Amino acid sequence: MSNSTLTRKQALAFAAPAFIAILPFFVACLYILRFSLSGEQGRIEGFSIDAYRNLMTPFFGRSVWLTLRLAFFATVIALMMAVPLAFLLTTLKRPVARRTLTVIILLPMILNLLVQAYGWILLLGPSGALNTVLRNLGIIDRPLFLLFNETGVLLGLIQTSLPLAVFPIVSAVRAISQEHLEAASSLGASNWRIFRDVTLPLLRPALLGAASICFAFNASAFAVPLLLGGRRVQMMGVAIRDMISPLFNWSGAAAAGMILIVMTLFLMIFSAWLVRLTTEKTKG
Amino acid sequence: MNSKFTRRGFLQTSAAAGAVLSAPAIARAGQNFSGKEIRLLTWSDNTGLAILENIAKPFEEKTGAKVIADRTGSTSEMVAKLRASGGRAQYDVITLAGVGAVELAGDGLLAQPDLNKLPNLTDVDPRFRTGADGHGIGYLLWTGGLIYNTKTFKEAPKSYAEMWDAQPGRLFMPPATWTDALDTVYATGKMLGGDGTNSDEAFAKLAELRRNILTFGENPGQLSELFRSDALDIGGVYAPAFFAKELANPEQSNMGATYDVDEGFFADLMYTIMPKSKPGEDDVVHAFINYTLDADVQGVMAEAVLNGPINQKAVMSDAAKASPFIIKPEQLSDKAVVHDKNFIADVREGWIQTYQQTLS
Repeated sequence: MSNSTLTRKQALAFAAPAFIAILPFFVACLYILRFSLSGEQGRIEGFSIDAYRNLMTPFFGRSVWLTLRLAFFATVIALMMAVPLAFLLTTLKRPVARRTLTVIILLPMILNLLVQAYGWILLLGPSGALNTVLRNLGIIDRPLFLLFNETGVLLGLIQTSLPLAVFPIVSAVRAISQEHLEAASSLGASNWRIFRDVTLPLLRPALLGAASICFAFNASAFAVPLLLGGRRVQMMGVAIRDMISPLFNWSGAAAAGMILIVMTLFLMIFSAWLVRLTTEKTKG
Repeated sequence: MNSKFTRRGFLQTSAAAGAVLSAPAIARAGQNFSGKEIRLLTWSDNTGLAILENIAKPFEEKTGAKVIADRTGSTSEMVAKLRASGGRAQYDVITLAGVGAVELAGDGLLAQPDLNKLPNLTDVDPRFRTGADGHGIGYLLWTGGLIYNTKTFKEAPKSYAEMWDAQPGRLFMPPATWTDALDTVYATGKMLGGDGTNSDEAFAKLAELRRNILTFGENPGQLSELFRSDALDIGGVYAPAFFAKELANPEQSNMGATYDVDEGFFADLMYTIMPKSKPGEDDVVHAFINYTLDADVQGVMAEAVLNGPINQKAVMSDAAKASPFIIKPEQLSDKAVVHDKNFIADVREGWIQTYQQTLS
């Protein structure tokens, strides 16, 4: 082993602070699991699956379906926007241009979510820029509603998850060998065919990885549906919050939280399996 | 015994006697509580802000006590907060809707204030002095009706049924956690010919509104902006209290409010309560509660947030006296729906859940 490489023991020692930082999250998950199985709504006492049974309502079913649907569409759209952005970023030669675009893509992660939500309200709200222009042009009499509904929440989710989609794809785009593309081109393949048959399969593991991160991020969104949904779009994060206050149903909220965690974990495991499968196929 | 009656002696004796007789009044008006603290829990909206400006701040100036305020969300959230604290309350005084006081008194979490330490109560309309089995001291009247767009409605709507005629996306409703949401269920029941407690029927009718709702009015500031931009037409049951400035200027705000609806308007006596295990001292807490009932304070609060004063000697301007949005106790006609708070306390959690599930 060369001197520049850490031994496993050294690596573990250096990673210890990170483990310590993550530990409360695991403890919290265990606590939530225990609360979800509590016999009492407001405190941990006894064992019962009533909290899960009480969630079997059309309302909670709608909330799960809405969460999955919005998270899925936001992920797909974010990926479709991320791929060209990733190619653009890798083709930029001037460092200033590359850095500027990187900052622009990263903005949703740098800016406070509240600021972003108010940005959308200023743009698409009833007295926002779009409605003002349309009214001044005489196209509409009264404001159009692009916020306080699923459309508004979808826009917010796409915007906030876009950076999570772009950067894993950028790494994969950089790793694509020019030789593969040139070989395909010399054999007479069109640009579209090269993209479909060479680039996309090589990008597939990164796309799936980015998709799973985006989906998990979107499915657990709270601030965006709360601020841009006008309290009407009951994604699971908002529904969980409403169970805690004012209903004070801690065990119900814990059970709903566990369902969200399990759903997300299942999807990430499925995605990891797909990544492995596609990587093997690509190699094969 | 040689006793001489002189003019100087008479004046000195009179002054001393006067000072002794007036001592309690002076102590009440300007007790010194320097160095003492009082922890207040109140609403997060403009009504909570008005309490800080018109009650807490002058109380601090008059008595030297320090008021540490926590402005939380709604009455439901205050109830949840106090329940969560169990026997170790962080607050000395809480202002909240009547139903919250009844629930917390039922849970055994409240102390009974000593009425002898609340001299201003003698000026309060006898109907509104205490409640929640003596655990709540009347505070102000909260009233709710219909809020409407003055551009859409040339005349004020006459029934809650007008909400069902609203175009898609032009309606707002109160958020589930507010007592106004419970009032809305009640109003719908009455609109359907029941006595207001016919909730199953009411929820079935309310479900028809789901597609028409633009938002739940959790943020009154945002509602006023939506009316100003002509995005909303109507909503309720909601309190004009949030829109004192807007209602004074309907040309700009497009906002109107009415209590004159067939099914009646809603009047709820709000209470000041003190938790059983409060951290502060009894005297300063009672002095604060007493101060909320002061004739000047009641008048100022009525004008600031359009709540109905319960002190019969409340000092108000002529404009406030004439305001259709400030309901005085003597104006509570048979049109005012005053809930049976015990009934509302019993159904509250179930109604909140069903309301949320029906309309979200």
